Amino acid sequence: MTHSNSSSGPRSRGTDPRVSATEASSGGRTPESLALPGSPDRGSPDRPASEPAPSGSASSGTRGGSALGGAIAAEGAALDPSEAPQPSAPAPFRVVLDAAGVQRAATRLAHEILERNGGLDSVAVVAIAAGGIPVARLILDKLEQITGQRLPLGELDVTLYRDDVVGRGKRPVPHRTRMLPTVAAMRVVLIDDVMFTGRTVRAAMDAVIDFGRPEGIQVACLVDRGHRELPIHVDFVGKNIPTQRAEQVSVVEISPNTFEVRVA
Amino acid sequence: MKQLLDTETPSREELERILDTTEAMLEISQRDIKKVPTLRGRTVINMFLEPSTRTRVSFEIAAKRLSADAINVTASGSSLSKAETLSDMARNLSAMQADVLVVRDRNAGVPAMLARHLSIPVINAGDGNHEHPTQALLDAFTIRQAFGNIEGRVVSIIGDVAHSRVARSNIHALTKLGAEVRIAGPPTMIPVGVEQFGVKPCTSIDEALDGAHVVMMLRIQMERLEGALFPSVREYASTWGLSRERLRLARPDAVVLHPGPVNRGVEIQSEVADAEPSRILDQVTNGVATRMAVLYLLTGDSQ
Repeated sequence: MTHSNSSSGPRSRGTDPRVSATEASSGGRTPESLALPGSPDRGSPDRPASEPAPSGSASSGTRGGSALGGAIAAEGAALDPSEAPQPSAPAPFRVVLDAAGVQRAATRLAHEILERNGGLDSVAVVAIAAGGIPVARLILDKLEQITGQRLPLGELDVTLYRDDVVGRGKRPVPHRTRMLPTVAAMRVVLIDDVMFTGRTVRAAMDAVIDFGRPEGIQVACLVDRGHRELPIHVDFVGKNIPTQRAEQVSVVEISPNTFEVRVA
Repeated sequence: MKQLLDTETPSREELERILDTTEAMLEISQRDIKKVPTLRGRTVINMFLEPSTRTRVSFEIAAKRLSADAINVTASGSSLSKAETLSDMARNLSAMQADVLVVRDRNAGVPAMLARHLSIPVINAGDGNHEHPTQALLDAFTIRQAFGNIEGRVVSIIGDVAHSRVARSNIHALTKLGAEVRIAGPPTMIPVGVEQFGVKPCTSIDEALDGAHVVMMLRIQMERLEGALFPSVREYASTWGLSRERLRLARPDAVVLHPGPVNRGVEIQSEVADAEPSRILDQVTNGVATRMAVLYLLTGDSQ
């Protein structure tokens, strides 16, 4: 799916404006969506760089939305609602990963990160603001349970590196970046909530390298919804969720520190 | 927001959006590599037709930290102060595909006039006695940085309010952002009817300082004052200058602001300007971030 989507990227542009519009509003649209434990200063920045560029990164606008606002727009078409207990009952969304599933995914991601890097000695965990922050905290919790070691968390806002923000259009308000003291010679694990077009990760790689030359960069996400537009590879995936492009995927905090993934 | 000609026009939300963005921009200046690619390929023209070091350098650094190309134009040796010449110049700049024009001029209204001739965003970097909006925004940001918010904070602006574009921009911005603004200065330097701007005029510096969170001292602009608006510099310093003893009237956690350049020993004593409550150098640091925020927001919104 990813492959077919990436190749269809340019062609799908026709639908993009609509997509971006919806997705752009996702943060604000789902009021219950993620209050962003990680974003101290503001609740709902004006959405993304979506209106923009005819060159099309509508979909990345989506990611912009998640990065900035919290709710993730992804999609999860055809997903089985059965998988979720749906605590909040009837609503225009489906839960594609319930709270227990999110916990399991985080645990697995933690183990995979440990295994790949042979421990945490040279690992630097960096969340992509704002959506990646709660997911990263969850993974750090799991890593701490396993190893007894609590890693610091860097918070990286990539707005100023995005190809769709570099264009023209209503500017999103960036979050403040709180980077780790050093990433040079570290294995940087970038964490985001939902993997979509890959544009956020591209921007994040540029941003990380501005802070120093890491030994390597790896990417972890809670959900991979497909539709890559760039040749970006994800190292650690919590759950693959096939989606349609126009759908929106949100990681929602349903109670303190408890998250579920919804598709609308 | 397509222009930044003053702080009177923008809404509170628009001002707060700039302050929020400034927060993120501030962090960039603390990095080893102080540059992000956001405005790569854009051209910012800094047209400073009146002498300026701090503001011109601040805008230039701001543009470069966003990867824009900054071109500086000064008035030296040319006669650019005539309106007709200016509108011609505006058309020429437009024809050179500049993306943003930053203007300082000794005449009020020049940035607004140029904005009418141009389709690109124009930023007022100070026009005569009218406004200096980015200064007010950086002052507001510095206050927010010191206290966490602006709403309800008591800000006393002291000095030559009538001739100060900094004061005018601050009065509009800070009252809009919810601060309680007091002004004080020699009667010759306080505009008649200033109450209508929602500020409280005080008859002495002591009254203005009483319980203030923020003390904003204005520069006595020796170069602008042709007539004698006060008897002597010494008299001004003793009646309206800020000393350490006077500052005790303000709150214990009060901060002191000054737009610079400082006339030491006139409006402010060195013992205050260089001491802990002074945020004068923070203002300069914040000025770069504020101007980055304005350049970033206007280049997107204007299209």
